[in-house]
Amino acid sequence: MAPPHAEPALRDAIARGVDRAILLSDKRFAGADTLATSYTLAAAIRRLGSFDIILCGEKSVDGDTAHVGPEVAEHLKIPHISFVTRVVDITRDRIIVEADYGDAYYTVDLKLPALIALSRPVIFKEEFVEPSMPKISDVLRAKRAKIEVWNADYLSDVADVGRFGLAGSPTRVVKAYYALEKERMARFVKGDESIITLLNTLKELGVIQ
Amino acid sequence: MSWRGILVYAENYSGSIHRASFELLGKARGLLPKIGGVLHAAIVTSEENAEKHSKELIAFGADEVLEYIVKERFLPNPVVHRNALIDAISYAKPKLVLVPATPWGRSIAPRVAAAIRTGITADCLDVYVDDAGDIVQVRPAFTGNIIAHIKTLTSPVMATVRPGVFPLPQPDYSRKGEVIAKNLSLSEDDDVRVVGVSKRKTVKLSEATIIVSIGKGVRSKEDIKLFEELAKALNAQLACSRPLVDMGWMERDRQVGFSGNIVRPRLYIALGISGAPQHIAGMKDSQYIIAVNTDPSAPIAKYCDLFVVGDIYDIAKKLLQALEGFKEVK
Repeated sequence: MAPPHAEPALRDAIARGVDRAILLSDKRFAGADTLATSYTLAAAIRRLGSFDIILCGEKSVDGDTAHVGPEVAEHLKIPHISFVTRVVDITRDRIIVEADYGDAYYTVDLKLPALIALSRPVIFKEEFVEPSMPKISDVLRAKRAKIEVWNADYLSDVADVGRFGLAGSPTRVVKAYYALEKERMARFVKGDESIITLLNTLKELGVIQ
Repeated sequence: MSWRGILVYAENYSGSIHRASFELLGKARGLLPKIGGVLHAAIVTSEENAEKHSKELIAFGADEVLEYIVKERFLPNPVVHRNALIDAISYAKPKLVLVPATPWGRSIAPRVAAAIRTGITADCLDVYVDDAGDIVQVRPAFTGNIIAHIKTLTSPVMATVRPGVFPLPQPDYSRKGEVIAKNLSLSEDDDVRVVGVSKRKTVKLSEATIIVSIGKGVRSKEDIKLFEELAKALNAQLACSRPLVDMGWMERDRQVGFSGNIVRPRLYIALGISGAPQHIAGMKDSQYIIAVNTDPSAPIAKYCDLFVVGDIYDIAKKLLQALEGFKEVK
């Protein structure tokens, strides 16, 4: 779900192996908080029909909530696990993952369909999963690929359009400003001065005596 | 329906309550006079720990503890906690629900918010009541560059709150409170089966007071030993920036940054770290920051108190030698 300028991201996904890409784009989706965003994504997934697994990232770089994945799972009434760092095994109807609970990693066995929110780096069975550069031929194919664009009306038979975008968002930003950084005026040292200064600083800070 | 008071979700999936839950109780006590009502704490716990946990929650400020006793094996099951929190909200009808913004809390709370169709604000740094009497949530966005103040139009107001931003209150074990035993109908479906702990964390960077952190300036995995020694000599924890984790040289639990651990030590020493925004977001609130880098124009220069222009290998070796004459303060 994004404005039309997000199309290149979907083309990149196609170049990396995705078969079909859908952009949820409509002015009526704008201004959505996590509740409305997750509701819209869940509606689109319902519109798609059946699925086995929903993969998403831990959190977005701009919003940084990590809340959308679990909310999508709740709307779809399927199990989910967040902060997944390893997929241990996957069968026709279950997936076993390791997830970071905070104090420890737990092994969890989920019934499919399920939603998994992945944290970096991800291990699949024993291998680290590294995004590799797509081949030129795949990039060219992706350039010509069709990106389907779905709007609010297209989802109206599986969702309440009043729950999209700003209208469906219970949270409101009432004030926003640039974070005030603590002013730091670094003192620069080099050469022979370095070690003496470091030792003095460590002493002043009470790290060594 | 009238919504009153505050509900704090006490995180307990392992048999002990996460300290952030106590921080939230302290914060909630301060907010309560402006919000009205009582302070509830909800906890999923086991028969064995129930009494101890309720006493702790009351000592840290709860007026009423909603206690969901389950068999030990259900403790780490997120579905059980989701159901308990939904039940606790429908029972207490609080104006505000606070949940620690730990990985666990950020997994449970949003599901609950979606289930009861209310707004939720993530990873808050503060919560206050404004002149109009509205609850306002303060959170960072865009890698911490923007601070947003957010109001919620639905009830209850739900927020996950970053651990460590509010002080741990002094517990008062003479405080009186009520314990309400709540039943939870545990479905026997096996949608989510928790097999058990696969790995305990060996390090908790968020609690470290001194951190020695290494970045791309380290040339090989074997070289990490040198910096490990330096960290040991300073009684510090060894940490790193993301590239070293992506290369598989360091474990994820030692990664400082936006997508790793957010740390706030007394002293942060960045060795060979240029200072990408994603790293800065994880360490900028450290009390004192020392950077060692060959390039004095590296971005980290803007975020440190002392910048040593030099080779990290050379500095680490010389510093280790020099430290032999000193004792670290325990």
